[in-house]
Amino acid sequence: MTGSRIRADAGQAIDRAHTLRFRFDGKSHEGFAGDTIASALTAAGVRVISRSFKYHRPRGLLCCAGNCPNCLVQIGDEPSVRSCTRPLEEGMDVRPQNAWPSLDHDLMALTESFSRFLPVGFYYKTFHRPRLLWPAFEHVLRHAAGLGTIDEDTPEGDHDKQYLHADVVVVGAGPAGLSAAAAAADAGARVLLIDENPEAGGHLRYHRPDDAASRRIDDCRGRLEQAGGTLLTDTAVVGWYQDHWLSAVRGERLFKIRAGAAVVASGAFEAPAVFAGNDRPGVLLGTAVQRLLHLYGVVPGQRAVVVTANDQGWAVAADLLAAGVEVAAVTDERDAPASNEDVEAVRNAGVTVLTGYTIGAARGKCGVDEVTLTPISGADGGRRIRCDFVAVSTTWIPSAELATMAGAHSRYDEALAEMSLDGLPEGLSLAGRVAGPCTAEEEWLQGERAGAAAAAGTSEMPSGGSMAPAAVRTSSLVAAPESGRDKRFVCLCEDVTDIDIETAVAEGYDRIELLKRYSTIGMGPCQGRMCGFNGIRLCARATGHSVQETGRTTSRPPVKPVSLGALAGQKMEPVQLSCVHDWHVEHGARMMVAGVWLRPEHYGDAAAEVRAVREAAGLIDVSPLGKLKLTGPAAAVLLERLYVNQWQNLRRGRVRYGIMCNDEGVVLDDGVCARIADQEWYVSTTSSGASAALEWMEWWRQSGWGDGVHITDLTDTHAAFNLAGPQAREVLQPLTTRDLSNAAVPYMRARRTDVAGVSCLLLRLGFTGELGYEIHCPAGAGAYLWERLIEAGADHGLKPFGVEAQRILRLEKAHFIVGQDTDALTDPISADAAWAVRFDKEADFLGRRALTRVSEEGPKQRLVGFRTGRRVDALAEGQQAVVQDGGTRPEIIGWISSCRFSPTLQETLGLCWLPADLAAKAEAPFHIYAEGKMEEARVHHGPFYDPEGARLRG
Amino acid sequence: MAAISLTSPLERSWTQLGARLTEVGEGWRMPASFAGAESELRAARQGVALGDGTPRGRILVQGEAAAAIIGEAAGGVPEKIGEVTGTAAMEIARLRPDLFHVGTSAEGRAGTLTSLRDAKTDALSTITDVTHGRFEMRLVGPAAPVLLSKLCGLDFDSAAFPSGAARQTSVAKTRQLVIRSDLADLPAYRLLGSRSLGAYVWDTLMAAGRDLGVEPIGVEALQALGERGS
Repeated sequence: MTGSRIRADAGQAIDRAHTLRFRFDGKSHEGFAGDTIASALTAAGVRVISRSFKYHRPRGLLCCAGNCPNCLVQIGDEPSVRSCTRPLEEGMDVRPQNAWPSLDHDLMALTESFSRFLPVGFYYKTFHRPRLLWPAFEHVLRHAAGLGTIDEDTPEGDHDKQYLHADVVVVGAGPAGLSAAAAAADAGARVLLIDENPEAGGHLRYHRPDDAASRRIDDCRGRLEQAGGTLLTDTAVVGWYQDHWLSAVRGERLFKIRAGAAVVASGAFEAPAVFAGNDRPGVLLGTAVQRLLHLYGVVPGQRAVVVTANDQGWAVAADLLAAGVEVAAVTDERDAPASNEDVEAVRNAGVTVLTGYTIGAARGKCGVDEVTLTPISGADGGRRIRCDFVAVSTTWIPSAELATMAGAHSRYDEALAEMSLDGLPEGLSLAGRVAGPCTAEEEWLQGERAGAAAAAGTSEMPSGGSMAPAAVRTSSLVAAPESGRDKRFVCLCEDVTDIDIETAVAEGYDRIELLKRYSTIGMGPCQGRMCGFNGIRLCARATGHSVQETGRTTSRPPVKPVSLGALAGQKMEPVQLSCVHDWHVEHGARMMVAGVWLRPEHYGDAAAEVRAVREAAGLIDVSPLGKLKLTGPAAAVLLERLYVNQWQNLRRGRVRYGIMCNDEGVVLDDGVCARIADQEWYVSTTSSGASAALEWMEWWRQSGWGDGVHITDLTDTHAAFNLAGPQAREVLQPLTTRDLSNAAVPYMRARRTDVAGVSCLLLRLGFTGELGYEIHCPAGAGAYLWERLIEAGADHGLKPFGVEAQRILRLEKAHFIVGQDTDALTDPISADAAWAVRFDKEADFLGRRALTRVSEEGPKQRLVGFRTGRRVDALAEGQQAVVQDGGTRPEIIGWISSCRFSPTLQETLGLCWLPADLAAKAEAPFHIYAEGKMEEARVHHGPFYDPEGARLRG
Repeated sequence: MAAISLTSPLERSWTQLGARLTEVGEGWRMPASFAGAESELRAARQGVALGDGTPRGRILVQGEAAAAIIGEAAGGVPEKIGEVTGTAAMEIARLRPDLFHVGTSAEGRAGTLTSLRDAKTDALSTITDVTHGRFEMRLVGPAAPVLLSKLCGLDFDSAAFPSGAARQTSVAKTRQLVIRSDLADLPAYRLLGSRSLGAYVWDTLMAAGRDLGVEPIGVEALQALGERGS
């Protein structure tokens, strides 16, 4: 096969005045603007574009429509690019894939020599034994498997998605789709017309130029545009979901489309015939030849043989003759094809015509040099004819995947030997070739009717075209009669032959879905477009069932390969930032992810931050805390029901710690609640549990417990800072006119006050174990107030501190953290917080029944403190607590939930879960299994630091 | 002591884009301009521009008496959920039968809050100033609906989402209130979401709008388009 360009006026897609240079497999080539990579390669005489997946056989252009796997190439870091549809660009460096060391001399082609040892499903049967050799097998298989290569260092590309909405979506911009879109637009519908090709026109684009057809295309486009409709080209609809929810892809953009109604006018495509050597470069589908001729002005060779079973092949032969290509022979399976313009043109040109014949084999080294044409009866009389390419037009497949995904049913039409559709779901119409053969005029008319029906929200199924089945039917041959020893491929993606299909059926995979999974037919890049129908017919022949009985495999998205980047879309990972975030970063904070928030873990030295809080003052940004406002006469009642504590007796201006449980008594969240007014409460939750706590409270509020209560989320409205340490009062007092003395603002009190001129809510708390004020202010003023506090603390040794120091400080006080020291089974009694559970309160509360039982029976495990009396760096959270009893095997009795070295107490301490009887004994020894060693620890009750709480109340 | 300065959650984002600063309302630091008002207006008229409207006041009114309060304070109530009435100075969006979002100019926030509280009845109602809890962005230009359609599943066609409509929805995977309030015959949207997510949403919008030529727009250009109170 030696491809070349034909006369200068041919090729409506290319601009011959604009030459593009590119490289393929290291060699320089030229093409024209408007070319695809494959059309330029074919024009340059390149036969072999790729190597096949399994046997590494040479493969060349086949479909020229983006359906088959034969022209996959690598461009830069992008593997498996379909070169027949990818536009050529200046300077492109195109590389073949799946070939080593080169495309022309691929050593992996030796695989075919062992093909008898690599039958269908060999990967399920081989390489299992001996097991010791598996690493070697794996190395070889990983090298051999796959197609292109991925560079993991490639920067993330630009991917995004877009939601589109339309009253009517039309898939396919051929004559039927164009007229459907125009008709729907005329009826006032908002129309979206989608086509995977770069231009509208469908098959008219690659048929002989026709001015009248061009005018109709322009007319429809004009009507669509005038009505505000949208035409999306280069866009493939790849999935159809319930209620006309479609996914489509253009380049690296994913469209999610919601349509009121839809018209599928996706046409039909050609599929290969099964004969010996049917995969050789130089064997092309008839429509591929027409595309090359009419779009790109390229002929794939100099001497052709055309193989057909219907009128399409004659049109291809006539086009080739018109382009000056020698047609050595035309075969037609039919004994007496009806005369038409194309048939007469071919006969008049003196071309050898063999009726009742088909192709038996194609031969050649890296292409086609000769074919054997054989009677379809299988009788003797085969003829060998020299040629350098073959145009095969025997099999038509309606593009029905999307319609069946939408809910249409398919059935086998014996007269046409193809699958046809019926049983359309509501709001889905068909038009054009997808619904069955029809003339071009009928396609326009069907489109008009379908478009009008879609605009009205109804369905339209064409009643059938006027074309005689014999003129358009698919070949009746499942496979050509035996001719030659070469392989006869069914699936070009996976190198599956007709023998493989028969073998698989013989092995018991005699249902089409099973056969697909076992043989992998239809699971490659073509997604069954090239092999699906032939596979079904071969399965039917092998099992003795009819094609209708055999059925078809289920169509699933994506219809065409989609890059993972397109599916992922734009990277969107929400992150929440405090109003002081910039200050933290500018002052050297190491930020950590806490839920969706970014928080300062420390500012360089967490131990120094702890010491600052214990000896002077520290300031931590606790803005991520959940903050809720509850208002209304029943707010206290709702709190009584949601928390285990008592609330109705809490006086105005006071604060109380609370634990929220679910109905199983499991701890969900904790925090403090301040009574701001008789009917107004300010509730704080954990930072990571803020959203869940709000949802939980809202759920109960809206489920009947919320009459007379409003909940307002103020989490982002207020910034919050915790100023803690013995110098905290001295730092804060100059910034406010309110008296902060212990008498005026005692421990666990709430006060409104201005701080540095900013209106704040002050909560006197002691989570760190020191005198502390939690300052809540409007978030917009948060950065300003933070800086004023830092300035005010400069003379008092104040340091900002992060989450790590906070964890150490609270651990020294033996406070648990929900989620850290508790899990999905933890109740407050086991967590050493039984004091908070008020069984004596009047109101019923969530968890009462479960907690009553725990209280009566006593917990089995308890959260308790432990100390080591020394620094033990090996200890870590999650390690196991064990007991060793006189040299017997260690027994796991619990686990460490929190553990840190205390800079204050100069020892490693923590919280752990132990059996209740052991936990009850202060100073009881046990061991922690840490990094292969047993470390001794002792049970500790109560806070490690300031157990009397004098400092936080001071 | 220094005067209180109020910061938008978008400050770092627009500072990195070279904003020239100004002060708005009760001390909010805001971008007066980026590339110059003329260039920003061109972007808004021909493509899409993104501005910061965080200083505007935002008040939630909820409860059985909410409609009555709004009616008395504003002289009218949006009848349907998703309907917006009023002016830029007091823009009322009905989010539920018993929940309203009231947007005000930065200068008018305190006065509106007072008038709403004065209109309070004995029936249970809660009026909350959430100005500091939300970011507010202004997305203006003929390509604004396209940009939003890349981050949100709503139909932004004018027939489905006209000026004077509000939707609670997800934009860039975050919960937001989107109000369409056109400026100078240009499609224009207010995006309101949790303050802490502001920087993320701004950066995500700028990234998604790169192919549409999105430009930041300052207060001066927004005011030239007729925006008031930001």
